Amino acid sequence: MPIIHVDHLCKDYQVHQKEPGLAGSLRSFVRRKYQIVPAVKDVSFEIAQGEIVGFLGPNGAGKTTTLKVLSGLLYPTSGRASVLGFTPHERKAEFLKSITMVMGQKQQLAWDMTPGDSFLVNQAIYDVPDQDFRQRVGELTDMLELQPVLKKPVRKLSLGERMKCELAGALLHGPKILFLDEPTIGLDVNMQQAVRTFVADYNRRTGAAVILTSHYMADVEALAERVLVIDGGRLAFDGNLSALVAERAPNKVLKLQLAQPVSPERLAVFAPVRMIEGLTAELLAPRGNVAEIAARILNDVPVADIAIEDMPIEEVLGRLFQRKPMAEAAK
Amino acid sequence: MKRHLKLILLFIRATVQIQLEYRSGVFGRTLANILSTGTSVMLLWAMFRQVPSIGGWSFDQVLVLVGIVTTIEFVVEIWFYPSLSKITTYVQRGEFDVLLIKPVASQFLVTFRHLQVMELTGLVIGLTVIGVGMHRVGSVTSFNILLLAIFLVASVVIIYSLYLALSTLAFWFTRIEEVASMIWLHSTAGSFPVAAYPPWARLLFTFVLPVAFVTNVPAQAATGRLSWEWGLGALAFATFVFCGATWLWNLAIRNYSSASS
Repeated sequence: MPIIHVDHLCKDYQVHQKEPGLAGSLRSFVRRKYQIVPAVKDVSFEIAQGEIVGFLGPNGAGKTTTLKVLSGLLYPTSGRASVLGFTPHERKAEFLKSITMVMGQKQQLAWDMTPGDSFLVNQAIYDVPDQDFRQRVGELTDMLELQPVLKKPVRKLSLGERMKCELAGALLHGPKILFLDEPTIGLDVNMQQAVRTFVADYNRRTGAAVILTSHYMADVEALAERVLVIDGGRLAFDGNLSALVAERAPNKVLKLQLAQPVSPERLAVFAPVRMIEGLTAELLAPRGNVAEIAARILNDVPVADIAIEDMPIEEVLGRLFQRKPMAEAAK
Repeated sequence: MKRHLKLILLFIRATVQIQLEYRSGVFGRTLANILSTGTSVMLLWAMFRQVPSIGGWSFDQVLVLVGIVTTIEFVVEIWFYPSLSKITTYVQRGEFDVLLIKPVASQFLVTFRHLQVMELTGLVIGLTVIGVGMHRVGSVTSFNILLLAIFLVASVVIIYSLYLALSTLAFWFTRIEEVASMIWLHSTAGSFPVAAYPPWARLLFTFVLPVAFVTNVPAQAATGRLSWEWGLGALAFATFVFCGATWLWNLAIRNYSSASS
């Protein structure tokens, strides 16, 4: 059952334009010029209970804006968003108590308190009964291995420890929807992995819906079955991640480990060469006859090892986003 | 209500914990506070050696006034300055989202989040000076104390509202610290009977920089000289500015939600 409905959502920003120099500053102080910049254009989708959805798109594509409209931080310019039956921007206490937002770039735990004390503040803010509170703190402490850091002031924690505490603090009220905006930004690989595992686990255990944006493809690959690709404020794709790859990446990558040096020309006979460097080479083979090409290469070229892989998602998306302006221009 | 009270206690507990780490500062500050109030009193005493009264106020009555200014100064220092001055920081760093997403009124959160209760000694000094002044005037009755309490609350509401309104301007102008520091003017202009100023200045100090309501009215209440017009005026003014500041705050929040990125 869908718990989030987004219907022809548009969001424009009024950007105040300042002319350069002191005179320009004075002029714009007296009479401000505004420019309307559309951030989200006519986006519609639905998200169901228990889904994990990844928002993908280049910087400034409108991912965070959409997230902020859904969490009630921004008013939509036009169109409608409904979350759990509420209109988000009315910010009813009831609504705010059933969602949570974790922003990798903005800290919510008080810098000067220990995470344990911050949790108590959140308990009071969200009106969590003592028993539920103790149980959830216990669970989250186990899942995120927080025991050693709960009593240290937040300012003394490492980035990774802090993010884990942020997550715990954001989940104490048992929200039904998690909005995660770049939750792994700046974390090292192990910590990213830990956060991913936790989010997946949490989703399985509680059935809470998770909507996340990330720059790290690995986050989205590991967590989200469904992705919404937002580009230039528009919804460019909505569906399965593997379908996205199949649809937008007609080629597979043939990775060759050569036994002895081979000229690029000799390889280009089989399929376009993506790169060649010493004894390693990569060819782009169409999905349909990749096996046949591989077989021919094995016959004709001294190959030590061969592997067939999907195109990395970063690259698929990179192409998707590059192609976009051309498609626009063609219209 | 109970939840809000619990939150205030938690916020106080947190700030006390931090301040306890810098314990030596507390003693130094208490000493500085005593010295600065003492200097004001000495200055006053020197002036009153030359003249019997200023604007119709005797030395003892002005002493009460000084006590009230000190008290309010410390309310600002303990409460409003640490809390409300953070608004500009939140706005500049774009951290407001963090407050808005909480199911508690944002105005409550910005008002009570940071309370420097360790400065409480300053409040004790202020109240002591009021007490000594009232004793010397001979106006210590439970009725006057009640009136004093009521009008001190009104003063605090006025100062809070003005400070909040000034800080709220940060949503439109971003850098506002300089303007907001105007709030300290009441302690310079307010330690004097407004009646001692020429009429144009009296108007200014009543309605524009409302030191008359903030400091003079409670002092008059404490010394049994408050006219009902001034009393009602102070209460009406307090209600008016509080509603105004709250309205401005809500307007700013609405504006923020529709414009920020």
